[in-house]
Amino acid sequence: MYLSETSSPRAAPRGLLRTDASGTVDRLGRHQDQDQDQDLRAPGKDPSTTMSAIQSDSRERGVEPSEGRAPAPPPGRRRGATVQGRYIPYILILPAIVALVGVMGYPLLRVILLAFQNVNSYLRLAVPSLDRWIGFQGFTRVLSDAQFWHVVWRTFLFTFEVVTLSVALGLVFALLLNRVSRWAKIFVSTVLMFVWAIPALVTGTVFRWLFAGIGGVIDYICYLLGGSGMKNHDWFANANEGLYVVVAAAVVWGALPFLVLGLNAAMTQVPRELVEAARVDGANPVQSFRHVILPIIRPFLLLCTSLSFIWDFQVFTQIWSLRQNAPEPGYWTVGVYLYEEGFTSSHYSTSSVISVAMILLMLAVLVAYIRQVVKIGGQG
Amino acid sequence: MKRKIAAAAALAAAALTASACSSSSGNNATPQGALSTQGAGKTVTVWIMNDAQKGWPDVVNAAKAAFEKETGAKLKIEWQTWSNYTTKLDTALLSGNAPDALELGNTQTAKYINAGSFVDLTSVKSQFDNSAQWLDSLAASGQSPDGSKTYAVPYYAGARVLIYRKDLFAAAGVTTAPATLDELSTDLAKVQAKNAAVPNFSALYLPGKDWYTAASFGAGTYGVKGVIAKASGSSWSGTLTDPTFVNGVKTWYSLQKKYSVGGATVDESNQDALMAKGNIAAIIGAGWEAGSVVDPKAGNPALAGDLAEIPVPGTAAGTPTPAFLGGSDLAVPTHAADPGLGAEFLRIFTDTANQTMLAKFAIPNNKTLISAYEAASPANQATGEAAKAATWFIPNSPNWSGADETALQTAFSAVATGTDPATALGTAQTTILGDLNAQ
Repeated sequence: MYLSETSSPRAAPRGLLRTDASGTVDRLGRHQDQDQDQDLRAPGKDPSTTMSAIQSDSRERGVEPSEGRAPAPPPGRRRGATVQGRYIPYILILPAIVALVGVMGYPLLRVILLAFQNVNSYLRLAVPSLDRWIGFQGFTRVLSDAQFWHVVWRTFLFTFEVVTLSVALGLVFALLLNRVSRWAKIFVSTVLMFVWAIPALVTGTVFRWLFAGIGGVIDYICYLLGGSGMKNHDWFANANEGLYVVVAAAVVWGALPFLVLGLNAAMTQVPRELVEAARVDGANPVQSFRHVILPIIRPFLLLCTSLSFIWDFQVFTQIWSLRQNAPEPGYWTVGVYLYEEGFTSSHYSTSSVISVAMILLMLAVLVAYIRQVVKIGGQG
Repeated sequence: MKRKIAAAAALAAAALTASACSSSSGNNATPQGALSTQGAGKTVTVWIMNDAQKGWPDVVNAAKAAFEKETGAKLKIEWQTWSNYTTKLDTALLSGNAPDALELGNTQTAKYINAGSFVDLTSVKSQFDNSAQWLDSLAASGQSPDGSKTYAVPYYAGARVLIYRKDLFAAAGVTTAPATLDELSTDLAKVQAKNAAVPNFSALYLPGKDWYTAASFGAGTYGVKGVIAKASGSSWSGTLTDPTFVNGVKTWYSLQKKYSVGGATVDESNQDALMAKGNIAAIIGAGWEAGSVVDPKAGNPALAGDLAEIPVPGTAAGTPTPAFLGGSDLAVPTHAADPGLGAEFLRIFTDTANQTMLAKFAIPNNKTLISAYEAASPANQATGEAAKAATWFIPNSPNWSGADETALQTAFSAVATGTDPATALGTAQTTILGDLNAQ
C-alpha cells in the first residue's frame, strides 16, 4: 500500500490501472496513453521505450530502499510535504487570487446582478434608488429579440471563418518556416513580432485606409490586375463583404504571429528521426504531416484553436476602428453589439444580459480549453 | 472540498453585501451653485474639446491666466475629443474623478441634466456676462425642460455652410454664387464637366455618413420643427419617413450620386484633408473647416485665397437649406472636487472679453457679439447668416444617445449606396423611437 502512496502518480503500478471505454486510466483518472505522449515529447524517445521509461522513473523516485540512494521518505507522508507545507502552495497563490477576485470577480458579479435589474438608462445608473429587480424579464426580452439571434449567428459564422483561416494559415506558415534558411526564418520571425506588437485599433485604421474607396491601395492593385470595375469599389457598402472579407483579413493578419510562432515552436518537438523514418517509408509530405506531425502537436493545436475561438468570438476593436466608431448593424458581432447596447445606448442591464449569454455560448469552448490546459499542465 | 464551498459562499456573501452597501443615497436634489475665488493651493481640472486647442488657443490661455490671477488656484486643462465622449462622461460624472468644469455638446446635455449630474447654476446665472442675451437655442440646451433652471452655460455655436473653390468655379464659367439648389446643381454640372479628366474629381463631396447634412436637406422640405421625431405629450412619433422629409433626402442623394466620388460609407471627419488634395470643388462643413483646408500643417496653404463660403442654398432664393445649429455648453459636475472654483472658471471663460476674442472664430454665445463675429471675416458672414436663418435641432430628450446618431449614419450611408430612402429611414426610425419612448 505504501508503494502506491509514495510513488509518483505517473508510475501507477499496473494493479491499480483500470480500463474503460476511453482507454487505460490510472488511479487518478488520467489516461495512460497521455503519459506515452508526454514521453514522445522528450527528444530521442520513441513509444516502444515508454513502459521501460515509466518503470525506470519509478525506480529513480526512491521507492527502492535497497539501492541505498536517496533515503525513502518516512512512512505515511509524501516526500517533501510537511503538515504545514501542504498549505504552502495555497498561501503562495493567495495574493494572485485576491487580485483576480478584486479586479475580475467583483465586476463579473455586478454584471450578473445587473442582468436581473432594469438599469437601462443613465438616469437609473445615476440614481440607484430607481433600480428595480426584474428577474428574468431582461433575459426574455433579449432572447426573444430577433436581432440578438442574427448577431449570434453572424458571430459564429465570423468566428468559424476566422479561426479556420488563421489556424490553417498558421500551420502553413509554421511548416514553411521550418523549410527555409536560418536567416529567412529569423527575418520572418522578427517581422511577425512587429506585427504582433501593433495594437488592434491601429490595425483597423490601417486596413480602413488600405480598403478605402478612393485612394485605397487594394482597389488600385485590383484595378492594375485587370479588374476595371474595381477602381473605386466600396468594400464597406455591403456589410457582408466588409465583415467577412475586410474585418476577417484584419483579424487573421493580427492573429497570425502568435499562431505561426507558437505552432512552429510546437513543431520543434517533433523528433527529426520520426519524420525521416516516415519519408524513408515512402510517405509524401501531406501524409507525413497528417500522421507524424499532427498527432504530436495536437495538444498545442487544440489549445490554440480554443484560444483563437475565444478571442475571435469577442472581436470588437478592429470592427470599431474600421467603421470609424459607428459600425452599421450588419457589422455587429456579439462584442460590438454589447458595447453598442451598453455604452452607446446606456442600456446597461440589456448589455449585461448579452454578456451573460455570451459567456454561456462560449462555455463549451472555455471548458475544452481549460481541460486542455490542465491536461498539458498535469504532464509536467 | 467542503472548505472550498464554505470559502466560496463566504466570498459571495461578502461581495453581495459590499455591492448592496455601495449604492449611493440617491439624493436627487442637485447642490445650488456658488462662485468661489478661494483657490490658493488648489488645482482645478477642466475638460475642454481640442477644437479650442486647434482653433482658438489664445482664448483659453487668456482665460487661464485671468483665473489663476484671481483665485490663486492652478488650472489644469485636459483636452478631449468628441468620439465616444459620452461614454467617458457617463463614468466620470458618477465617480470621484469628475473634473471641476467641462465642455460637452449641446446634443449631449439633456441626459445629464435629467439625471442631476450638473450643479444648478440658476442662482449665479446673472453673474455670467451677457446671460440675458444668450442665443435661445444654445441656452435651451443647458436648461431644465421647463426652462426654469440652468445647468449648463452656452459656450459657442456653429452651423454648416457650403465651402467651395471659387477658382475652379470661375474656370468653369460660374461667376456668381448659386442662390438656389437648382442653380447649385447647374453650376456643379459645369464644374464637373470642366474637370472630367481629373481622376476621382468631386464637384461636391458629400460623405454618406454625414447625417447632419443629409437631414438638413430633409428639413429643407419638411420644415424645422420636429425633425427626426415629434413629441406629443410624453411620447414621441417619428418624422423621418414623412414623404416631405424623404423628398429632401432624395435631393441630397441625387447631388451625391452625380457629383460626389467615393464617400458613400465614410463620415466627414477627413473631408478637409481630402479637399486640400485638390480634386474636390466643394464641401458642406462648419465655417472653421475652411481654415483646416488651408492649414500649413494638415492642409494645403496654396489654396488660401481660393475658398469662399455661402449658406447652403435652399429651394427658394433667400431661404437657405436649414442648418443644424450645433454648439457646445459648459457645466460643473455635482461630484466635482471644487464646484465653486469650476463655476468661477466658467464665468471667466465666457466673459465678454474672452467671447469677443472667440467671436473671430466661432459664433459666440450671445446675440450682442454676433455682429463682431460676422465682421471678422467673410467666412463668418456665411455662418452667421446660416445661424440666423431657420435652424433645426435633434429631439430634445434625455434618451437621445450615440446609438441614435449611429442609426442615422447607417441609414444615410445606406441611401448613398442605393437603398430606398423610405426603407432605410424606416429602420433608423424604429431604433430611434425605441430609445426615445423607452421607460
